[in-house]
Amino acid sequence: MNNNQKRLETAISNILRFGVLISVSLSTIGIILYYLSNGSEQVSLDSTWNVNTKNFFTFIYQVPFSSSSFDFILMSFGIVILMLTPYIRVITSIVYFAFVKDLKYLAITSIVFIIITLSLLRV
Amino acid sequence: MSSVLGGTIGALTGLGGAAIIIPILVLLGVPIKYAIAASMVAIIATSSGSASSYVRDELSNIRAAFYLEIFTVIGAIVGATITSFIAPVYLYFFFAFFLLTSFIGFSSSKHSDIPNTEQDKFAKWLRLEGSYYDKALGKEIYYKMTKPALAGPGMFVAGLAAGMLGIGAGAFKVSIHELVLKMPTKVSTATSNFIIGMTALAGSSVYFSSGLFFLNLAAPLAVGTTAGAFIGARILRRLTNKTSRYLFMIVLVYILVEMIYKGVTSL
Repeated sequence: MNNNQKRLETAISNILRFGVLISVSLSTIGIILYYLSNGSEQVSLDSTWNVNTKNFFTFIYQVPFSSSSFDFILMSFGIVILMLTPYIRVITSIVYFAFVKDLKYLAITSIVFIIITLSLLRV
Repeated sequence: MSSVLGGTIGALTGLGGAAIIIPILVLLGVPIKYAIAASMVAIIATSSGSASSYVRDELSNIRAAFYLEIFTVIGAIVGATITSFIAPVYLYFFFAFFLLTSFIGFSSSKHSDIPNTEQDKFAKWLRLEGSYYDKALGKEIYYKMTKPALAGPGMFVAGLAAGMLGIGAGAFKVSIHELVLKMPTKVSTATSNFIIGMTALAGSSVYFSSGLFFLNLAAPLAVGTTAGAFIGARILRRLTNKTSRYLFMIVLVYILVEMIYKGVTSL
């Protein structure tokens, strides 16, 4: 069982690392595009860049369809993927605890998961 | 302003990026709430990034992490919500206060190398124990944790601070891990890292719908911190312990002063 655990852990950390890498790459490309099209380094904090959707998941839907420039889309996906990395990590752990039938921790992990999901959904 | 990217690189000298980035951003003229919201997301990058270090994953105690996370997450959500509502001026002072406590915590770090083997009933029920292979010592170390009931509320406070200030509050968490739970140092750092990622996610979720979140601030920040962590780790190896402590102190004091100044001038 411990061996399985090790392999699971390796798999998870690879996913995480991969996820961060993709995220950062997307964002970087987005940033470069932004820089190219804007000419200056100035970051303008106006409403075009403001994120103000009802919740996280709405954001994921909206972005590809809203007007926005390609750099915005890239950065958005970059950030979205980034935010998903810990989320997936939690889900993986839930699966793990279910697999080894550790009910106590299945419950605990699920509590955490539910809290986070609720927060991503509401407000 | 997006040469903040470059700035964050310098930031990663061991304090934990966010605590330094936010002041830098503020210095550059960014309203503090925006800085906090953006940095919350950037922290996820540092957390997930370092959690990928295979050795660390072996080290982090997942059970402990999730148990503690329950408290931390709630704290973070509450904290982030508070920040969305209160006047920015309070945030400057809170930040300064937090830095102060980190300062104290840092100067008086003491931990024994002997693994703890006592456990209270609650800890036993939660099965808070584990083992890891310590490369430095060349052997497998078994450890147990204790007093989780006390650690819970502690983590709530840590989460609160994290959510409110947009930071990882890593130092605070590590001290709880070590002093209350009696975790071995390496496990403590690794577990803390894992926790921070989830906490940051929770915090970000609140900021997302608060209108305080700017993509063109967050994205460069995330990229910059990741790069910074990478570079910082390299540099750290070359510095002597004394130098890095010294550096740490200087930066800390500077930020402290700056935060207080900002707070006072906004009154």
